[in-house]
Amino acid sequence: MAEPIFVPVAVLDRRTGSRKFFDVKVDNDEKISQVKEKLVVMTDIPLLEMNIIFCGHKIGDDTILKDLFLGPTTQLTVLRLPPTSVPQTPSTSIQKITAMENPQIGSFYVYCKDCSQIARGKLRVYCEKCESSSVVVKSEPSCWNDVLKSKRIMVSCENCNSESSFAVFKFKCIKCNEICAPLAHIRTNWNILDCCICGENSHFVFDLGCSHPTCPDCFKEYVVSCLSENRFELRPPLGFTIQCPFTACNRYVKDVHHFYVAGKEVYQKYQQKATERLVTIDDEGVCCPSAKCGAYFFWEPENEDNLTQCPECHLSFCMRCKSKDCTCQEMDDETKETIETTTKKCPKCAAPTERNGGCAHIHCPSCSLDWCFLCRLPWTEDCQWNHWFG
Amino acid sequence: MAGSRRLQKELGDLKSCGVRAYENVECDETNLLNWSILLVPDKEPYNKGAFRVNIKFPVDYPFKPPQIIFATKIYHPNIDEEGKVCLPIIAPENWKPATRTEQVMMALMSLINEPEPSHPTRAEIAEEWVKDRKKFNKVAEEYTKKHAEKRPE
Repeated sequence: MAEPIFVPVAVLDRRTGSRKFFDVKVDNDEKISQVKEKLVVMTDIPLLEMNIIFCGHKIGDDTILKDLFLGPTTQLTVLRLPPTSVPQTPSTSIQKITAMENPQIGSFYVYCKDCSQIARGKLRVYCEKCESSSVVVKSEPSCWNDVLKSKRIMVSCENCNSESSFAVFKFKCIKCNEICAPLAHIRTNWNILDCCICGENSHFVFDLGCSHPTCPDCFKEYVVSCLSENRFELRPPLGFTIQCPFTACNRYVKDVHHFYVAGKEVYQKYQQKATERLVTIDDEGVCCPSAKCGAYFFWEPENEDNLTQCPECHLSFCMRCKSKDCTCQEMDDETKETIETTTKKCPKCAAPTERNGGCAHIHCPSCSLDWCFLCRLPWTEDCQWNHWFG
Repeated sequence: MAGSRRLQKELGDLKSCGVRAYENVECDETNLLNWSILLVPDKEPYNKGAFRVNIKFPVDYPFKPPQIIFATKIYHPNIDEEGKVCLPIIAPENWKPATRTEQVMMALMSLINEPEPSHPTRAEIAEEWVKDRKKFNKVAEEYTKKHAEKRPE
């Protein structure tokens, strides 16, 4: 026997123009038809004229309440239409909507920061103009972009009476009702495929659209190892991201929210590295040399003495040698000399690079450029044929 | 943990893969991280012997790539005197955790059969391979006869 719950209901009566709010005591196992019967008593709206709107749809009578994953503050909307607009065939249209709606709810995955884990998600839809949930979508979302990008699906809003408003979709954790980032790459492992890394199968998998399923544990581990191995790449417009873990597959993780799954600490490290990469590709980007700080920021070029100050820890340091005790003028700096004599600078990011064996083809771990150690230019067909004996 | 299960499976798969060139795998039962494979190339100039390679898997395999070292001396543009081989599929910047050892072996065999003179670790051998294939084949074959192991029956 399920615990009784109270569901807030907004009752919009288009016939009288009234707007009332009720808390209806229901059981999670009850059908919508039973909820309607209770509302008939409370609102005096006849059963046949009553529509319950939720999640962008009119809900069918046979829908069971718990399948809607109602949160403690989720509001249902009851709508009574004016006489002229009562549809002639209400039962068939409602049935059609119900059949489409139920598989959608709860079949999404989100990362819930409150629960600190991947959770099943529910999709909620609101009116862009008045933020009310009393909306009916005019067309069904058919792909992720329909719900992730704005202004793709129109709604008619029963709250502000707008017929030209767009839908705003939000994803919520079905456990704690918090608004969460949807993880579009996660899907239920309905065809029971083995993880491409560990070979085990799991209830849900990460799939970047290339059918190379990765189990959640391996995906987390993969994110962690890519971070420590500097395998993340800056790929606008996707952001700072990684490839599919499958051999030679060059699909990328399209939404960086997926990196949340590696945990808070790893995600913070990820954000730091992303910032670092963004700043280092810019000529005026600089990293604070203090071991305790390490903040990344953009250098203000008006300082003519080459000194800059870290906005975080206020350390003043030299832009050229990255030291607070500037040694740029002292030519006997042994470290500097050793670095200069044993390394060559990457032609893109100027990272000092040592060749400790192998061929002349250098892959820069700092900026990912492939370059030739002999001609100090990006690696080309010509350069490799001209220089491989050098 | 996931790594050792996968290694166990890969070991079994490789032993039963039916490819003569690399199915001869040995592994110390107490240490799944060190394998030894007897490579049996079919193409000249390496088909007169067999080459032992040691594969060392890191503890965080498969998130980091295995290392391959030739225990048998080989005269090859891409394999240096210490037995180190420049194989892109297991280079840290290319490594993908879903890559299986069998794929690595396929890549290794194709590198042995078809040297990559554009990425040589031994430039003088690469030069010879490009400019004087006859001489290269002769030297490599003699080298094989002298240093390589006996081919399994």
